[in-house]
Amino acid sequence: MQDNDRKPESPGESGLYNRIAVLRAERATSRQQLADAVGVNYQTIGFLERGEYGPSLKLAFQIAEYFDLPVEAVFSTRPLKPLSQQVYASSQSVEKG
Amino acid sequence: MRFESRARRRWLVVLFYVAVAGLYCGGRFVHASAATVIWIEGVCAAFFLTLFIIFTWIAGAARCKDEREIQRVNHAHALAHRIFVGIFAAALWYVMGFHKQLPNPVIGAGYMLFITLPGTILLWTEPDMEEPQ
Repeated sequence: MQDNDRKPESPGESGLYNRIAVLRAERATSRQQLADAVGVNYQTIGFLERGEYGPSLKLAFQIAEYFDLPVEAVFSTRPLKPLSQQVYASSQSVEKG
Repeated sequence: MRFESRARRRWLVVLFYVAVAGLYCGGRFVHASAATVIWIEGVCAAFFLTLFIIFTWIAGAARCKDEREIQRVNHAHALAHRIFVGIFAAALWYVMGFHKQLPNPVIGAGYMLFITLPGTILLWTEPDMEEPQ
């Protein structure tokens, strides 16, 4: 199987799930832009997205800060729910509350 | 020449070792004059020095390595060290067991491997590179 065929939110070799690809697409940010902002090579962003590399704590926080989200919203050791589902669920609970 | 493709990099590695083996065999079996041998050695040294300058100084100075790249380089060196320790143990067993000196080509190949193995591991194992989309 080609490396590029992996699902973007699969844990891969790192054992860590992440939403980097989704967040990047949502904010129309290129790998190069994100890489420049956090000070890594754009290849490393690709490895992170495919779960082939587990980031250091510093890099994980830098990425979360770039997206202005808490680190647990970007990285998780458990499978992450789709963002749309999570947003809809939270808006439903607000309406009910 | 572009080296984004792993297959292309693997071809380069094979080509490099075939060329080195060819030069070594040529040097052993073709009885050239001393001056010719010195010229060939000089050209080879210049070639390796150029490669060294391109890949370490110019490419390295252009951009610092990030944490993943440093981790990959460290892994390549650790793996090369383990492989080389195995080779060294085998060589030691040969020398101690048979009370013979290692043949010169084996020692030469050992030196070459010692210098090039970490780079070879990196070139061989690093996956295909992507475009910055």
